[in-house]
Amino acid sequence: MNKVSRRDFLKMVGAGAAAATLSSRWSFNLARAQEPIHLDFVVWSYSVETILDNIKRFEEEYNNAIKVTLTDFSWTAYHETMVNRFASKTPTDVCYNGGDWLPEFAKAGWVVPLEDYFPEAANYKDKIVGYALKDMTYDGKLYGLPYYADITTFQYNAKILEDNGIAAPPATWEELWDQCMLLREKGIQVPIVLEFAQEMPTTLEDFTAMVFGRGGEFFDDKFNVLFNDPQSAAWKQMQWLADAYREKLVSLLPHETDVVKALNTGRHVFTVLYNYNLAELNNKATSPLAGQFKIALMPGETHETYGFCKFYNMTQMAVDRGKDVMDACWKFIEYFGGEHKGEYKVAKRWAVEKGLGFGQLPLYDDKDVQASFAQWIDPEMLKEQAKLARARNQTVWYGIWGEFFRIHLLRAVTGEATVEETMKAAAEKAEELKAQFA
Amino acid sequence: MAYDQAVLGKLGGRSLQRRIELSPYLMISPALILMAIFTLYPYGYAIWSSLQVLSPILPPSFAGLKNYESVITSTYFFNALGNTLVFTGISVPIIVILGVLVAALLNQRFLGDFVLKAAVLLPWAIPAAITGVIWKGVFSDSWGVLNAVLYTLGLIPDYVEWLTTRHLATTAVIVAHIWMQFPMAAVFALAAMQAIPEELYEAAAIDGAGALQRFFSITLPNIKVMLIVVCLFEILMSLNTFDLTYGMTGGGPGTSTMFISYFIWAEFFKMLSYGKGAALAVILALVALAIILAILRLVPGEALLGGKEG
Amino acid sequence: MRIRWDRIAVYIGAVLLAVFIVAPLAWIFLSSILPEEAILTFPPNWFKYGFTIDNYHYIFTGEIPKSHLVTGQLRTMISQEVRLVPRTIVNSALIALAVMIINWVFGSLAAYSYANLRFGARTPTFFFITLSRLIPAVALAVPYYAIVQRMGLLNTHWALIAIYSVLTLPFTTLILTLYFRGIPREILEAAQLDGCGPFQTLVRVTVPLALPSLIGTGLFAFMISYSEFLFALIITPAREARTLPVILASVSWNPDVTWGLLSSSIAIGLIPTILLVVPVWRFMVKGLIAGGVQ
Repeated sequence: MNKVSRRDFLKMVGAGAAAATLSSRWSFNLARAQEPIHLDFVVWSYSVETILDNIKRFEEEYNNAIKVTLTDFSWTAYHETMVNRFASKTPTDVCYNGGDWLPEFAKAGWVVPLEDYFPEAANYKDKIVGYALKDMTYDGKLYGLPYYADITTFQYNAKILEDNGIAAPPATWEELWDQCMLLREKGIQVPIVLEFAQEMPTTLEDFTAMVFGRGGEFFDDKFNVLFNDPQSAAWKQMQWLADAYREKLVSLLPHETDVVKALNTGRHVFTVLYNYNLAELNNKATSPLAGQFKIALMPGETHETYGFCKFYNMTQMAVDRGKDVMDACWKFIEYFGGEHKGEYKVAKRWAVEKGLGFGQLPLYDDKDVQASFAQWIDPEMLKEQAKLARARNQTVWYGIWGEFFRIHLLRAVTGEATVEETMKAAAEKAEELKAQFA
Repeated sequence: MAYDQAVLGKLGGRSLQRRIELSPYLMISPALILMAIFTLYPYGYAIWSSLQVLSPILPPSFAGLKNYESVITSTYFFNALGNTLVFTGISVPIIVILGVLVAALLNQRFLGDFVLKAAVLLPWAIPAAITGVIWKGVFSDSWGVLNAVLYTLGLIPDYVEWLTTRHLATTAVIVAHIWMQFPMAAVFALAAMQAIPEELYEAAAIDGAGALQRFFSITLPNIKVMLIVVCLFEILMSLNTFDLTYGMTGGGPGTSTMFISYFIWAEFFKMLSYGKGAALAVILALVALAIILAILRLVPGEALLGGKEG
Repeated sequence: MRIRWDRIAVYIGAVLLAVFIVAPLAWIFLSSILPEEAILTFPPNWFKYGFTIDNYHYIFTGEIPKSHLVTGQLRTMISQEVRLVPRTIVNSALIALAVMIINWVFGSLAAYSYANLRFGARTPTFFFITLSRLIPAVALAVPYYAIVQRMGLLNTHWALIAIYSVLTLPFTTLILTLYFRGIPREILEAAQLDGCGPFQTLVRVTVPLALPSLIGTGLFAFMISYSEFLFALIITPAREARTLPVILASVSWNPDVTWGLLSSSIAIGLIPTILLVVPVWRFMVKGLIAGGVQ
């Protein structure tokens, strides 16, 4: 860290970043043979100091023959800035990617399948949990190794339930309704808080998890619409949410940190959120009600839930730079997302220190990971729910459809439109996009 | 004192001066060239791309006016445009009026005036997205400071859902926007007030005019043009607001705080449709232009630039 | 008696204004020194756990607050990005100062011409400059990126300085033109009789007389540049070039940021403004200008 900030400082003080960049490129060209291979690694801004530290360890591991420059963008603007970056060919060798963007980035030719260039990458397929593997796969090919993989879970305040004589968390949405009514009589006015907002992409993930809990899907494998039917899980769940909103049983907040704070005031009881938020809910350092929160299986008939993966992906630009660079990328990706000297070091570090979920199956048996997770979650329950998690069926136009659907979902839930209108419009949009991208 | 007469003489003063005199172009050129570099091509690009199917994930083709048709007929368009116009229509007049009142206040001397003068400018330096977050700290339903204070004082029986109730949320967003924008109106109103000759006030005082009378008969007419300019700028700012709501309401509840510029962003970068994003931007520019022209009709023609050149 | 009523109105106004402006910021300062648990108490009891400066300490030293060092392994759930706040403040302030100066120089040169000189392209160029803000900035992100990239200025502060100047100059030029036109012609003519050319007249006569509007436009340029987010995000992705709004936005959207840590970084971000405001106000209000003009 010291080294980095000193260099940054000198750059700032010096004749300006432009001159610095120019001169470093120039010397790089002159003395190519002796220079280490340089990789540009792009991530969204989460725990950048930890990432820098991981990079330092990686560079030392390879005797500084590979040098990595880190660039990070705010998570909420990551998709748009990466689009801009790729479209304008700004040097990028390895980047974070997600299952929701993979079809888009792959179709645009910006990222490449790992197994095309490194057949040994395919060996990881047995060692990665199903939903993570599916999120990293496009057109049958594996594109990356996991940065983290997590699931969306049903989280609740166990103490409030107990205090109010409710023996067990709800197993179905109908049961949840009854419990909410009961809690309201005891003075909890708005029992449910959700991260549900038009401008927040996670909204759709939360809704997906609820639909999966009822055993549903939005599209089949051929991307035919499944939701435009009153008997479909998505329709039923949307109606349930609309009813709950009308009854004021649910409060919709724009960000996960809002939900975490709201639950910690003890004024609310239930939520559906990315599982890592439970680590924050039960974090004694900052949460007054830490220790009261638990997960239960997602309500619904099948108790399935949504699982996803964020991963390290190599770019076409790295391929264009030649074999040395590609080899360096593979070393890097394997060190970060795979096994290095018998250990999944980096993924383990994220799990232990930050409570991030993992896609690498061997980590489930790791003693340190188990001990760390046990501080904030019941490991057996997590394992049971993770077994029931699956990834979404996604395609190149899914992101565009998701943007469209999210507006309509919010309108339906808050009573601005009916469920029927919403489902019809969403189905038409899907057909239109399918035709456009055929 | 960069241009002392002697120094200028050494530089070949007279001929240099004459050159400058002959060419006001020289004086406008730095601004003009910079503006041209960053205006001509981007505007051309925006208008051209609004007529294309343009996306990194689709083959390009000519679209004609299809992009315009598709954004205007989309479900979000009229809702978001309506929200934006209501937001602009309510906040701009308040910003300007509040700006004038604050300027009049700051033009006085009073105990602690300096502290207030310093504080007035602080909201201006805060990015819109962060302003949204700050006001979330005030209005938040379950842990906001407003609920905490009102509840502790016994003024409300239970917490009010400021940010998740339809009209309350819109109001909260408008309050935050006003907070962020009024310092600018105040500073420019104050600058305009400084230009009013003191003698006018002295003469009025001798005529026995009260403070209010002096304000309406001297101050207001003299700062009118400045206020119109500030008003125009604030209209552009309000029409283009989109990151304020991000942390505060996320566009909710439902879609009641969704503004049209959010969708320019969404079309461009989330749906990767540069054509539709550009079409929407051009539409918004036309809306802004229409409003501006309507307001400029209120101003006598020569007020902005002075008499027409020969 | 009348004067007394005036004074009372002034003080009432001052108090209301102070509450409106200061209350949200006061909450930011207060919550930055409160432990997180206290902020979330219900019924509210903010002072139950005392005060702490751990958040500030962490931002400047990187030493993780004691409260975060829970026994066991789960110990670093803290938003590390806040540590960039001090450095990005310097970046943002330097950029904003540069834009301010460009606005002054380019803006007053142009405004002087438009206000006092007659020339052929006067009207078209004036409207070209002042109306060029019509297209929403969001739509310009892609072409701006292309221009900056072609000029080889990606990741530099020069690019941001240029863009922010473009965003602010139209308004600055308009305001200064208005203001310069208000300066009595006789004063300018007197200067010309003394042998001053346009440039000298501008520097010696117009600028001192127009100080309040120059301060106003300078503040405007500074504030817009200091708080701009969109282009800063896209044009300067490199960590060393980044600006404060980008970091604050990123911090506020981090899943593991606490309210206290966020409000500490917002509070620190206000420092340059406070430093700027103190000298600047002296020139804003008439009578405070030493040895006034006329």
